[in-house]
Amino acid sequence: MSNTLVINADQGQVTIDRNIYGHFAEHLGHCIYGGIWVGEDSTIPNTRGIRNDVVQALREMKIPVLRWPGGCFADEYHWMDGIGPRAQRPTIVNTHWGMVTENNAFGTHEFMDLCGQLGCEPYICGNVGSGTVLEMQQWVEYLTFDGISPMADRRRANGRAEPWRVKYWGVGNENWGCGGNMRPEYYADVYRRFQTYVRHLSGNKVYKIACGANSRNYYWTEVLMREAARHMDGLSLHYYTRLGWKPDRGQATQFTEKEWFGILREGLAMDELVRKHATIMDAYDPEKRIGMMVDEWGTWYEVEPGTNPGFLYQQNALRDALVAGSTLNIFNNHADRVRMANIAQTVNVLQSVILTEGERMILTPTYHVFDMFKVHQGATLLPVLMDGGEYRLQDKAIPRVSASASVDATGAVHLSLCNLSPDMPAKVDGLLRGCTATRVTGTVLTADTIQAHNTFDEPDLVRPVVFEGARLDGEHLTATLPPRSVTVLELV
Amino acid sequence: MEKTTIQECKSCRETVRMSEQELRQVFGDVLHVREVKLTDEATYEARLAACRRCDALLDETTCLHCGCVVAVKAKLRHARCPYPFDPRW
Repeated sequence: MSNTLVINADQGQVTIDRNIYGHFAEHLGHCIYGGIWVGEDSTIPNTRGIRNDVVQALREMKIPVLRWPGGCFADEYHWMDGIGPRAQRPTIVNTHWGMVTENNAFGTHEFMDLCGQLGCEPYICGNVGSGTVLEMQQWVEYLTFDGISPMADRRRANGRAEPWRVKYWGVGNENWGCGGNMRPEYYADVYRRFQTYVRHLSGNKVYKIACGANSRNYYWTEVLMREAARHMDGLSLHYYTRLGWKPDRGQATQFTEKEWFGILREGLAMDELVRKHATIMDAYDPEKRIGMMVDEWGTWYEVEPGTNPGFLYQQNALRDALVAGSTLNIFNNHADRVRMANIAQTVNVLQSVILTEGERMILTPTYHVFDMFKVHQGATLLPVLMDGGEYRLQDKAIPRVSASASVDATGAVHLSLCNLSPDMPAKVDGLLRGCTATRVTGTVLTADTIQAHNTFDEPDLVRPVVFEGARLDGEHLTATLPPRSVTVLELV
Repeated sequence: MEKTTIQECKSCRETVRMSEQELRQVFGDVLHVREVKLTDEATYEARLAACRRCDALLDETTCLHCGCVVAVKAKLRHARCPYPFDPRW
């Protein structure tokens, strides 16, 4: 059975913000310490304490933006603890993530150095839950002011003469929960107050992001838009793909087809969430000025067996690649409102793109999806009609094929396709309208089993390879997608 | 309207400090989900002793280089110490 695909290559209007392919690194487990920061004295090759191998991998993936320091940690973090000579920085307790000792070796200067090495935008989340307005005001001043002031002078004394440019600023994280257990009405007023003092200094125009809803809490979005829309540039949304909370989260690499289907179905629910939150936002912001920033998303399972539950160390299988691909397709298709997304988290926590163990580093199937999809960054979204039929399991069904398309500045059309069936290929019979392309090439990510994953002993088991299953004959595009696969086609 | 409860607060329930029961459960999880071969007691004790002397051991339970519970990892025959370029065992 063929599946219908229509791409209107001459009807693109919306730009896919490159920040949709964003990332998030929190002080949690060994994401920062060990995964990114190893210190200048480490035997692991590093540049001013930051791992070279991780930086190189993230640069190649074209990481556009990195959110830090949290997450829940952000509403516990007092930034002045993380500046000045490292030997003099206080040791604190990370009360959000397992009461781990935090020595503050990785702080503001180190984070900005990391973003410089990565070539990405910083996205800093300031402390609302346990912080003060003054603290947030001073952090912005410390980072961005080029004049004479106590904070700017302190930055210079700590080794940075020139101010940094910091565009993205979060005013609190998850303030409905770990960030203070606030009602939306209360947080809206708190947001209005805090953001007043997040100043645009020395030509640095700040894009202010308010804490948005958890999952299906549409009431939170309604209240924030009603009470604070004119004071924000972005509103966040958090949604984790999971089968349940502990102890029923399931395993990352040991699962049945029912769990494969269940996770993919939960991942596809992102489309409903984005649509409904966007509908509320449209009512208050019909011109779509305010960006939806899905700044925490991804899969969440039980930790890898044998690891500490407080570290959230999770393996990453082909199933996660399908979640990543289908979710990125959803974000692309809603690019008129979704302006940023940050998968949780970059290294060694939840749905990571990179895992490390000492000096060793591996790239996960999720990494390869981000690498394959980078062609969409900054490209123009193309309307796509995709009818791939259904993948049914027992009494439930999901779309069998997920798709999105874009055209880049050179005129190349890129089509990303996910076949969610674990065992059935998908024959796509497509019409490529409004395009003069004459050639199609592709890359595919798949593996022999749905549980396939990369390990430190087998780091390349799941990797992209050349895809030769597509044909272009005039406007007629055909492709046979392997089962359980993510494919990106290029038409030039 | 969805409400977030304490039970759903993803940070409140996680800790790196593990009780004896939790340690036994972690060990059980490892044996439950995959076929593993175990090392002998002498090797196990020597490995654990090395971990206890290591500066990367957190809270007497967890290796900072891999996030593993050392009492479990040291028992696995084919495990290796992840200390960068200088494995302790």
